[in-house]
Amino acid sequence: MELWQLIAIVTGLLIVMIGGIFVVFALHKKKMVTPKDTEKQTKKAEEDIEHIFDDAFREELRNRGRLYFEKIIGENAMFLQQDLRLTASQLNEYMKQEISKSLREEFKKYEESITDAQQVAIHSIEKTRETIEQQREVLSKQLEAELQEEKTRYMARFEKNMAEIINHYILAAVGDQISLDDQLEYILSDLESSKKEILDDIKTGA
Amino acid sequence: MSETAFYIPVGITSKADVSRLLRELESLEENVRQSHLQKKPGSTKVNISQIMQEIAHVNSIDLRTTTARKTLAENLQQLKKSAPIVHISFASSPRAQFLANITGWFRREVHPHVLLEVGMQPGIAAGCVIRTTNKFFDFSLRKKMLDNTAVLAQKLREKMQ
Repeated sequence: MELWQLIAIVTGLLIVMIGGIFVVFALHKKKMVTPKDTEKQTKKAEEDIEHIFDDAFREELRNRGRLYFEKIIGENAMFLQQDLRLTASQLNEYMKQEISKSLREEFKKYEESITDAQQVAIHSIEKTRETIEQQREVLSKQLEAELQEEKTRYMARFEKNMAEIINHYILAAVGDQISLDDQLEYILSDLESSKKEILDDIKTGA
Repeated sequence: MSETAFYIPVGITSKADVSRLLRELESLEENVRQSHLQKKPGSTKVNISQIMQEIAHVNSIDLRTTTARKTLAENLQQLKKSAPIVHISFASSPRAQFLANITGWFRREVHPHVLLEVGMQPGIAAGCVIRTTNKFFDFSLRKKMLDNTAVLAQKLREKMQ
């Protein structure tokens, strides 16, 4: 509660008190019928008032008012303090909740971003792995084919060379051992097998 | 020259043999002419080679008559000029009998006037290599072995496995 509100309340109470006093006097005044009585009573009332509201009484009223005012102020200060504490506590709680909420949201967004990034990275890694696997398979097949081709080439060369070596060896080994007379039959059979071609060439040759 | 009328013995295998016969015929002719000039016909003794005698015999030619000698010379000239030539090579030098067998086959199966040009190629190991006018025939052992290299390679492969 603000200070001006307290002042307004105290002022309002004073006005009510003074108003009450005036009402009491007014009612009391109604009972006097004659003006003289009225004047008398007024006078008496003034005296009474003078008696009642003397300096000591005023001082007492002032002290009471001061005490009441202080009490009101103390109570209100206490209420204010309690309100302030409550408000501060609520505010603190609210701030905590808001900050926590914001933080949770931010963390959630951050987590989603991280999850997305992780998914993208995983996807990318998966794709890269698949590509590498495909490349590896292609390379493996190529390498295998090339190895097989190279092996076949080497084998063919080896076989050719080995066959040539063996042929050369056999020719060198048996060449001098077979007499022409022994070969006659085979030579004649070879000639017989190609007789037609020889005959045609002899007939048509220049 | 009629192809069937003139017979060539298998002893005559090459153009060189034909040339030799022609030279022998010329020599014979010269001797006969010298004898006539000396007016002593038949006085000069001439040695006639066995192959000359053989060719005269198979063709029923009397070498004592000039006309026959002249006919033989003409036939030999014609043979030298137009006989089909077959080049044949062996791994080693062939004996005469062997060559006669080969020549006989050619004259029997291919042409009666075939002449051979014999060569030597030790590299062929066995068999022979023949070249006619336009063709080449390789009947050598080397060729057969080269043709069957795949079989040899297959056998090697089987042994290696």
